[in-house]
Amino acid sequence: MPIRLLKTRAVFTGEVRVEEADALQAWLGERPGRRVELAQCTHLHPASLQVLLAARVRPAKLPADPALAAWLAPLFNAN
Amino acid sequence: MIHSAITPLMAQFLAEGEELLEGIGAQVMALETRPGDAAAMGELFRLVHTLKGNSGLFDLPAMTHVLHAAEDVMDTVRQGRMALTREHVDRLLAAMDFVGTLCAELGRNGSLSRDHGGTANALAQGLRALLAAPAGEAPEEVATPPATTGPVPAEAMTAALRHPGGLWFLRYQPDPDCFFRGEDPFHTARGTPGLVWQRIVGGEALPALDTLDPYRCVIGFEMLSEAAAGEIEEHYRYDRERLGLIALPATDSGAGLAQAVRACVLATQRQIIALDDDAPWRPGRLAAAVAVLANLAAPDHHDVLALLPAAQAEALAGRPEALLALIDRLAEPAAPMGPSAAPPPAEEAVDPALVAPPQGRSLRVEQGKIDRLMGLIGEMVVARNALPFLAQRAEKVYGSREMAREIKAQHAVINRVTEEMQDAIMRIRMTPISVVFQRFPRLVRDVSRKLGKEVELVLDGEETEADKAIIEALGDPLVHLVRNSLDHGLESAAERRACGKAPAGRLAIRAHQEGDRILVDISDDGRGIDPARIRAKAVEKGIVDAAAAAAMDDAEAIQLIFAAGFSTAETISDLSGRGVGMDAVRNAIQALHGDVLLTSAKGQGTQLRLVLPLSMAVTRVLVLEAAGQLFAMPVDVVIETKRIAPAAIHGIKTDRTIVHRDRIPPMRDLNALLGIPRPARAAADGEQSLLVVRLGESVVALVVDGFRETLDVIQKPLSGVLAGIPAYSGTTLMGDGSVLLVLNPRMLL
Repeated sequence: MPIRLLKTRAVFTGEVRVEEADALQAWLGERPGRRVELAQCTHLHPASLQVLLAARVRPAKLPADPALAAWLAPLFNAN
Repeated sequence: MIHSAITPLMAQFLAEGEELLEGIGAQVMALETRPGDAAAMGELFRLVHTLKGNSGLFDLPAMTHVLHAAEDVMDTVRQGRMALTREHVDRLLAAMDFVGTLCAELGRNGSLSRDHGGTANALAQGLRALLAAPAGEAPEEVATPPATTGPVPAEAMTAALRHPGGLWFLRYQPDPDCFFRGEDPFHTARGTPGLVWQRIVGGEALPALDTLDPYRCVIGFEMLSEAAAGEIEEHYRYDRERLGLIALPATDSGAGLAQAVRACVLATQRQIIALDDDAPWRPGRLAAAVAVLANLAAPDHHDVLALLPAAQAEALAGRPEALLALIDRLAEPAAPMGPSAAPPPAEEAVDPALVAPPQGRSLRVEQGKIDRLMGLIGEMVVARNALPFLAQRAEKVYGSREMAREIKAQHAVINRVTEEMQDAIMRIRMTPISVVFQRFPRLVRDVSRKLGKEVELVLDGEETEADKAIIEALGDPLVHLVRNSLDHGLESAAERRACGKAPAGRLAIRAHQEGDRILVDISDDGRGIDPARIRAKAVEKGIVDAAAAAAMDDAEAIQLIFAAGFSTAETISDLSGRGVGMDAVRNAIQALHGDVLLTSAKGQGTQLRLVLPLSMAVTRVLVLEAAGQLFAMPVDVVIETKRIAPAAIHGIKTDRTIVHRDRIPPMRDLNALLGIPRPARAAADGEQSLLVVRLGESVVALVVDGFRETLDVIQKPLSGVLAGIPAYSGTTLMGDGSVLLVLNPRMLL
């Protein structure tokens, strides 16, 4: 499972595929203030990325993957 | 010169499209003079059907829309529910002209402008109006033009300053529906070659979380790349129209960088000077800032330099305005870069079409030239084959053994060279099967979505090569087989779960080479073919009678799907099941000297194997003797040559048979089959020469007079009155100048 949806945080690992977006959207909508952890994420399908952007969540840490971090850094810093 | 925006698949589509349109035009004209010609109608329908199917591989809504309407009209006419009138012909021809125009535009630009939708609708409606009950299909929505134009944003320009040399600014705005096609545009963007700067845009346009449709792609991507334009376009070849490319010419990197630094430094000094705390180090701080300004002014702002001391004194007294004004003057020639500064002026956009396409490393040669070379080699081979005869004559007629030996030595050399030449030309014509395979991922995705099925496609052996003619001719049958598998073979997810299978069906297309043949396997793990249903259907359609159907075993019964006019689809979909059936597939493959083998287990899946020769140019034949003449039989159908004593021949009713490897193949006289009223010659001890051949599924023993050598020959097709004799597939010349007829085993019986 690329996204583990816990009580207060979602942990992203490896490659997050398109089908995760639905569950993530529901989970973020359920209770405001939930956090996401992207440190172990290596790729994020744009569907899930759009959910994160729409929910205006800011991950505490950028992905360890430097290529992905370069893409996401301006996005979440500006958010 | 074909524009680089045209993908190989598109180029092939255009080439095929041209042929199909020509064929359509010819058939329509033929039908106008002979309205009742069912064969011409069937052919016309097949051509339009194929063209429509092909156009569906690309995002060409206007073309597909018109073709779909045309296909509906023809289907109605073909089924005899409507007669073809002059008006039909006019409208069909107008529609085909329109399609031709679209193809021409595609060939020029690699894409279609968006304003064909109106014409397409008008034509399609005109066609549909001819139908008694017009199909209630809403015109397909014309996609909005992508927002890939506009100036280069300031952030990108700033980033570009840090990179010497020319750069490309890329703006990639994916199709909103692209997720449904299994695409991941972020992944595509991340793989962009030569990436030096990137960001994701459009996040602010997203609606609130509770109203968000995450599967509609809103975000876009902006990038700077230092790769060549060709490389970038190659990377985005499937989404080229969604990509905006703007060239940023190489700036004098030193100057650019210096300007950026200068602007940064000035902005910092401005901040320092504007501080109005009363820190004890304020005079020192001011002095430092002024020193920096003096250094910046030194090269070419002597007037500013002179004014600096006075301004410094004023600033120290709490009036920094003069000093700030001087900073403005220093900043003037350069673009200011401070936090509130405007971005540097955007460079003028360069039309990507003007950028030279990448230099090809290969040579584009007209196929006719290669074919001519092939023909010449063929004649060379014939001339070479004459040398052994010459050697024989030298020895026997002129009695010079020495001379004969020399000729033979020369023959060996020429032999080697011609064989290599032949091989080299064959290689030129070799094309990988990936040309055909590359259309399947898209096709399978589209079709399975339309059918609401989950399908996993496995492609294997794309690098397998065969002669261009074979690979090209393989396309249509393969597409048909894949559509059949998707439509009839694989079940819906729910149905699969009920059978205890994984919800996603598996469709595998594998190609590999085996000796001088290529094998293409299409297998699915779907519901398989039900022999009982096939029998019932075949009897109902009058293909076989009930007794014959009952006598067939299951493996034989499923072969009935290859019979002409057989189609089991319960509903007519636009995918398959219009009766352009498996017989067309088998005929197409057999025309390539290939074969289709079908096995299926009910509930477990279906396997189809296409067996094709590597090349049609050279055929290996076995030369045999019958009634004092020489004939050639293609070696690929030969199982065995044997001699058999009369005692081993059994009679069953009026037929003779032999027992051969646990089978009982019937015996046939080749003489009789060729209409030569003479029995086959037997050897002195009464033994007969038998050629055991495989014809499709069956094995037959042909009685002949005797066997000669095997030869590699280049066949020339029969022409004139001889062209109508199906028993021969062609002719070739023997080394002594005599003509050798090549038998066509499938048409012999």
